[in-house]
Amino acid sequence: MTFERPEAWWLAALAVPIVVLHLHLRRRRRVEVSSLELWRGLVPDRAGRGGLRQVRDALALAMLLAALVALTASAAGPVTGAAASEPRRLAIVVDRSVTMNTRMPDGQRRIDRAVALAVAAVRRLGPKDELTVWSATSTPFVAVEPTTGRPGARELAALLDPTLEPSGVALATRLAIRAAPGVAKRPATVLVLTDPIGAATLTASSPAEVGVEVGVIDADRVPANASIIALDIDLDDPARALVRVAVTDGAPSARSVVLSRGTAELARAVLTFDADRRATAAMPLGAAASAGGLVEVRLEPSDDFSEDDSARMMLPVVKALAVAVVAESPSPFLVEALRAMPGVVDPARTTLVAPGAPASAFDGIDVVVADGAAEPAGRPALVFGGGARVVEQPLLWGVGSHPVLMGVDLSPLRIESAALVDPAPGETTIVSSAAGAVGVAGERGGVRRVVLGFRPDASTLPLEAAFPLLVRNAVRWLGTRPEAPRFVVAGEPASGADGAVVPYPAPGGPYALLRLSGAGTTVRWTPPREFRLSPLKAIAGPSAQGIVASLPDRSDDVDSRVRHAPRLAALGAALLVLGALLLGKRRAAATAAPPSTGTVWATSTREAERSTLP
Amino acid sequence: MIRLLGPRTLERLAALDVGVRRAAGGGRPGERSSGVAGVGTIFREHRTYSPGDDLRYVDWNAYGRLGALYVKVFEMEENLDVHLLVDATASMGEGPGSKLAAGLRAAAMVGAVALGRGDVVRLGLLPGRASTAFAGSTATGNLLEALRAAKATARTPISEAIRAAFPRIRRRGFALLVTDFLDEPAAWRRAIDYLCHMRVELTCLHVVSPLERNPGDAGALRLTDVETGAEIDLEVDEDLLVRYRQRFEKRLREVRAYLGSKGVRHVLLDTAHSTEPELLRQLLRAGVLR
Repeated sequence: MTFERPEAWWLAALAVPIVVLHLHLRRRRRVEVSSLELWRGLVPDRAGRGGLRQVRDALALAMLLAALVALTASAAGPVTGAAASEPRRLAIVVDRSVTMNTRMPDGQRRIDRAVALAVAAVRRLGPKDELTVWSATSTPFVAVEPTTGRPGARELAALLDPTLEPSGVALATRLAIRAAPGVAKRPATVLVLTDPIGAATLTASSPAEVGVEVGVIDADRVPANASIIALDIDLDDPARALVRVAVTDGAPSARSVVLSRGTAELARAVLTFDADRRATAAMPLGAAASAGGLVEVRLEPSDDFSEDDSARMMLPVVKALAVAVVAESPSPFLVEALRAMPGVVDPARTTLVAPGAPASAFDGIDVVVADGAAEPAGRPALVFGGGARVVEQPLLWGVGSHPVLMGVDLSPLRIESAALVDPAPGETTIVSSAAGAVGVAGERGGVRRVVLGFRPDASTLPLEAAFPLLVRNAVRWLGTRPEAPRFVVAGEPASGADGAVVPYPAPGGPYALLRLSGAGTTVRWTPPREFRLSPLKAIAGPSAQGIVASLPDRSDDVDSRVRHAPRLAALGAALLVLGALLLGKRRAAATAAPPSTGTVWATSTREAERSTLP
Repeated sequence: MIRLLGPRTLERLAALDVGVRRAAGGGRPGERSSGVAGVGTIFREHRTYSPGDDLRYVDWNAYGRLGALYVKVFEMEENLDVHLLVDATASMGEGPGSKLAAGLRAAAMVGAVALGRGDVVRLGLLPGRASTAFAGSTATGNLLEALRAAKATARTPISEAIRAAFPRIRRRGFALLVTDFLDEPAAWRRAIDYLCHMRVELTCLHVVSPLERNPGDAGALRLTDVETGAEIDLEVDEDLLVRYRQRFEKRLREVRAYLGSKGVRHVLLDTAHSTEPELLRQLLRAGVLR
């Protein structure tokens, strides 16, 4: 038994004055009487000795003292049982980075194990302990605000679903350590549940009042993994897809890649890894090369990390365009250039149209090339010789990375004169000179247009290798719908999307098709450089299960104290009342008028003397 | 100092007389009939003239009507000796409201009346020296002064105190004994016998106090006799009080019976009713004054 206010025992000192007062009251009162003659002989044998009175007085004193003891003990606050210890705070930092998707030998992912261990840690908390759960992704945040509530396994699993984001466990741990004591500055523990990759990023520094426990999951093994690090169209042969695979963890093993479009398998290749643990496979796209659509490459068999075992890309639809050349006498270099790109321009549907021809002359035409003539309205057009103010022998250079200028080098170009072209709204400058814009490209009124301020024949451009590229780029750009990239990489800025970062898809998909420039594409998670599932140097220390098991189990740390003060107070009050009743009886006897010589009642007599005589 | 009698009371007392039942025997000329023929103003009877009678007492009117000589006989007028015996022992208490105060007031009333009638008042404060005599109406103040100066003293048996104050009473007279009769019965009986032997017309003023007659429940007490200093410890409860009251009433009956047997007037005076008007009313009712 303990006492909450032991200093209250000083109240027991009141027993001294009580006993003194009792002894004072217990003595007989002396009363003077006129004569004892009448009183003698009235004394009973025993009653007059006051035996009953003594018993009553002793009983009253005992009750008063007992009441004093009970009330004093009540004031001292007797307590049995144990008090709950001071509440603590536990901050659990759960690594939700991409490597936490690694499957372990039991089939569980690291993130699943982390959530299970977090639940186990929560169960070891005391009823008054506060819990905070941090989500350690590239942008850490508090998944569970500080609470004395206890989220269940499902709730935690829903809050801590896996991601493909880079690890942010170091930053999350620093934030958690800083916030762990809270405003109340309570003792706190930060439990970091991460994998060896995340653990390698942690630095061991924390304030004294915060204990940091790092539980490393899947630390005692090296997983096996090979990643598709690249998938794209072979530039040398657009009808093939190039696949590059690298072994990130473990020894290389026999792996194959399978190219498929929908449910149809297009190609299969066995990988042969080189000394750098890399392998490359060129796989024919077949009809998909021109028909376009989503194709997927998959590594077989799968390994411990499945997210990099597949990659997808969206192939564009390729078709030859019908081109109309509007010119009095078209440049032969231009005509030849158009003939030299059968994959882009359909020669059978390429025509020469005289300037001023009616609009019906352009029916079925995809792109108009105007060489020193006015282009028809409402048609995508490549215009040579546009512009007004002429600049003599300008030096030209390309501006930006417009698709029209892809692979085009204008630096060796010699030109007699060029007209300056003012970009209209929606158009951008692609070719510039010291005097101003010489070439613009853009979309006006829903129709694309490329305007160059010079004619091919007035320059050395047809003699350059860049000329057919320029023409091809321009015709392709003008003749096709805005083309979406074949894929976008999660976590990187998307072209044509004002630099917006492509969000990470959920592990295992769906790899949502983004609408970029009017077309859809697929999101691909690409392993970053030096991507590994386990560090080169093994992490030493206890396992995550051991760390969680070592946390003090405070689940039964409840306040089991029973306070006896009310009962003691009631007992004391009852004893006090009983003692007071006994004292009151004695007091009534003591205050009653004693036998007297009659000398104490004069006042009323004197008052009465003033009354009228008879 | 106790105020015994106020001016209005004295004025009222001037019209009263002491209620004596027998003829006065003071021996000195006074206003009271002595019952003895002699020189006086109170006509007693006619007597046939005998030679040698003083002719001044011949009733000439009767001689004119009857033709025979008769002489008028008068009663001799004497004063009265009034003895005031006031028990001033410690049991009577002291101060206003005490039994002593009530007794002194009663004695003062009787003494003032007696002095107003030309009687001689002899005051004896018991126990004390020989009695002091007061005579003449002008001595009323002295008497009251002497009474006011009375103080309760230690215990002395009342019979011895009376003997000491009144060793011999030569003439018949009126005696007022003021006491509480709380002595041993033998003691107060001897006192009564002594006074009766002195041939005085004795009136006993028995003073009791209400609490003495009816004490309350007092619990655990140590009772001390104010006269002897003796002590007894008592657990006073209701039963004991009942028995005490019975004993007290029995004592009253004994006193009354003994005094009755001696032809002594017994007047019970309760100090609860001892204001001047109440006391005067009691004395008149008892016939001590008239």
